[in-house]
Amino acid sequence: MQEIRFLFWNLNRNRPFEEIVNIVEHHQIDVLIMAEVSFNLAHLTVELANKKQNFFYNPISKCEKVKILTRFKDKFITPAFASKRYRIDILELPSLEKILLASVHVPDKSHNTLDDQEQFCRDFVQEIKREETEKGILKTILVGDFNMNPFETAMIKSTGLHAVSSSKVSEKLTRTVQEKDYKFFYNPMWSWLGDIKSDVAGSYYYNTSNHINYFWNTFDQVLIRPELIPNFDKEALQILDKDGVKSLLTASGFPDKTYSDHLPLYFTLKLNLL
Amino acid sequence: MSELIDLWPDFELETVRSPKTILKEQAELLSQKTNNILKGEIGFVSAYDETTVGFSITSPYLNNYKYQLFHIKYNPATLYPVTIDGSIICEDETIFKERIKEILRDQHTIKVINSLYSQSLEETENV
Repeated sequence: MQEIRFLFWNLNRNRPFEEIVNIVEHHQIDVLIMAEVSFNLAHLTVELANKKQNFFYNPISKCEKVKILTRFKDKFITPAFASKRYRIDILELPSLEKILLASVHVPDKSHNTLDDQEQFCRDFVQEIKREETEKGILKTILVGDFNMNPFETAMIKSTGLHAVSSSKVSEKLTRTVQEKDYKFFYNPMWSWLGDIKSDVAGSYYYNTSNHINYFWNTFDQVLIRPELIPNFDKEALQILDKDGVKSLLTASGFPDKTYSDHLPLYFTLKLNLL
Repeated sequence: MSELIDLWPDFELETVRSPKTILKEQAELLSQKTNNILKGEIGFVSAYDETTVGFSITSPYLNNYKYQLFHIKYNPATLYPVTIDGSIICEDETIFKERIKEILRDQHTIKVINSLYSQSLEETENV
């Protein structure tokens, strides 16, 4: 088995190079997935190389909203599909089982309705299914900024992402609704609602004067096909509030917007040898 | 059954580095020397008794723009002589490495590297 370490971070169009490099060094990240990137990735690649962290702009994708740097050469991670807001790549490392890596930045609620988000997820999941069937890969991991909490309709609806809180439930693989089968995702981020696991109660803090106010939201999530659950280390999953050197929070305990208004998400997969 | 008649001489098997392997190593080194911004890329075709290997410099940050620096041809069975760009003939590995060193250290090559590296870092690209 070989452990692959992932980081997802919505950068909110900032340039927290020092903090990214710190996290990469501290957690030995292999795959760096970023949303809301407003800079030329070459600059971050140079910063990483200066700290002897060799990352490559692979795979090159037409996706505008999600960018990826990896430690892997282009023959080991190849693009399968890309649209403006999501991308699907194939990670196939030497002598290791291959997986599909889908990454996304779902449209936000300030410019889109809940119906828009739901339709977006429905289309996205169809594309994932198509790639899974075409490529013959059942082990898919889906990560990104969903701009929704795990409990929202598009996240749990059978025709949406169908991402449930229980790995046991998802291990049934599919659920039949009105004579049609729908595949599950397992969403471990349900366990990151609230502050029992961590000082932070989500990945994104937003305070409104509306009657319904969650304050902390868990918009940044990783979803796993049941076939990949044995490879996923539940204990390693973290919403990071430190970069390994310093806190990513303000003195009041909210995400420090100097870095980003979102906190990064760290997770690992242990891939089996072929 | 009659015994096998061995007509072969006794010989030591040696592993030799092919010209393609030497170029692959140089391609790898280009990534390291440019903070992983530029890549050396090897493309090759083999047909009958001739292997052709192209050496290019590419930048993933410039939509994978590719600049072919030179190409070599050789017989895969004998490896040498190697012909560079259809005119420079290298009779053995030592001469081949010398000629490649000259090409990689040529002012034109350095100019191409600097030009592609600078453009890769321009903020207007890929933002």
